[in-house]
Amino acid sequence: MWSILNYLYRIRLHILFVLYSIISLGMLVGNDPYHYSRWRSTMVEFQGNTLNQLNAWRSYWGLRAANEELNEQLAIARTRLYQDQLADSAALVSLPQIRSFDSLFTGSVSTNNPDSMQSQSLATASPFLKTPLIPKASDSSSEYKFIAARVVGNSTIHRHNYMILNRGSRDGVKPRMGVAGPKGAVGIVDQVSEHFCTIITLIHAKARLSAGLAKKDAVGTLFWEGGMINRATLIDIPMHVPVKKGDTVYTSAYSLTFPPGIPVGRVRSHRIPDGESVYRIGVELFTDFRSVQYVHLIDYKKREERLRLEDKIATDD
Amino acid sequence: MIDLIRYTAWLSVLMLVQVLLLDQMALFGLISPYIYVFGLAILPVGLPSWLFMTFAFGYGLTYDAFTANWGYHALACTFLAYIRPTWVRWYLLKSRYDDPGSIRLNSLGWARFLTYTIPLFAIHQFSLYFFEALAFSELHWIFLRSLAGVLILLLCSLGLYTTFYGSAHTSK
Repeated sequence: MWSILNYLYRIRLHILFVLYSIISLGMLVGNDPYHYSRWRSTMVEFQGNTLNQLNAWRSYWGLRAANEELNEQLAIARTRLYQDQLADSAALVSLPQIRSFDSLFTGSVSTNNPDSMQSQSLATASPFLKTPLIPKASDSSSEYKFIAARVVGNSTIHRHNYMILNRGSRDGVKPRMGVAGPKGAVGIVDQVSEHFCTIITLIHAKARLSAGLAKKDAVGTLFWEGGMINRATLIDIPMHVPVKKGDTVYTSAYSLTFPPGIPVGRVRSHRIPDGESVYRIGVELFTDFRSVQYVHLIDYKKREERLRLEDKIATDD
Repeated sequence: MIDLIRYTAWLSVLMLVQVLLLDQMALFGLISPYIYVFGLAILPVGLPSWLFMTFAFGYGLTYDAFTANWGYHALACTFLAYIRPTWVRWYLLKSRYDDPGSIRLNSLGWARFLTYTIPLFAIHQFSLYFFEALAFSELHWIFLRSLAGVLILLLCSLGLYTTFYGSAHTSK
């Protein structure tokens, strides 16, 4: 007995190594959702508060670039709105809405404070609404609400990458809300604390997004395979759909988190794997995850209704 | 006991620098200098191996908690802690290194200090990226990231070290 104990004592380092490795691998593979959620919430609050302070100076120095980006987006949005107005008398956007759009941005730009931006309906704030993927009849202006937010924490170097935003449950943020930046889709809300929330970005190994190609009647799944942070993969687009390099990839109408038609990226390569009847498309993501500072949280107001309906269908089946 | 508190404080400071500063400036969006590993690597040679491993595991786990990537850094630090005693015995103690405190650049000299730290950094970086990808098909990519990670970690570590201890004391 004594010799066994003595032996175990001698190999204690190896035992500890195996033990700690097993624990680490166990955690790596899966976590208890409840404890994970509680712990993350606490960590998010701590990190969010600290990073919020640290980012204050960064935001100040980045104001010029941010304003330029805002102006650029405003110009694009206004051009689209006016083009739509002229081209289509049945367009969704009316003049009063354009005026409210202007006032939203005038207010925020003049104060140089993104925190002052209030939530607005999608019809007045999104430049993405009228895209080829969207059937007009479904574009009700009251379906989506945008909440302006600032990125206070961001990771791009891990397998599971997150962002922390300065909006929380107090501002109406809920898990599973979509997040879009100035250039396109960014991610989906994961954990929410009172003042902050974490985002599972598109460059998270477990992120999946329903997406399709412009002017094509096909929807697939977009995901990140690791590696370069500006590249993702789109699968499940049938082979009969003509795909070419440079085609734009948008969020689809099937998504419960994003409005249809939010740009995601551009086709950079495509092939049909041997023995398959669907494309494997390499997508260059529009969002620069390293530099994105301001985003919009998107609240799809009819999500619960749709979920209830889908649950009912599943139950009936 | 006082030493233990001092080392814990040193590691805590490095962890905060890592989480609040360095993680926010990932190079090329891919690589962050994991400066906290440097803190582990230079802990005293005389620290019992089991204590060092427990330290390393807890330390990696703390970083995992901040990044919500559970297990990755804990595992990489455990690997580092498993290899270090053998490496110290084989490389440092064989050449009669007998400094009881933290491993110092001015005790070892540049060449030996780099030879000591590079393999430890490499083990940490490789195991981290390998378990992140968990695919042999990505080995070339893992090697590339590990190599870049080690270089950046070295630069930052030496920068930090010379800032704290002064370049006058580091040449030998």
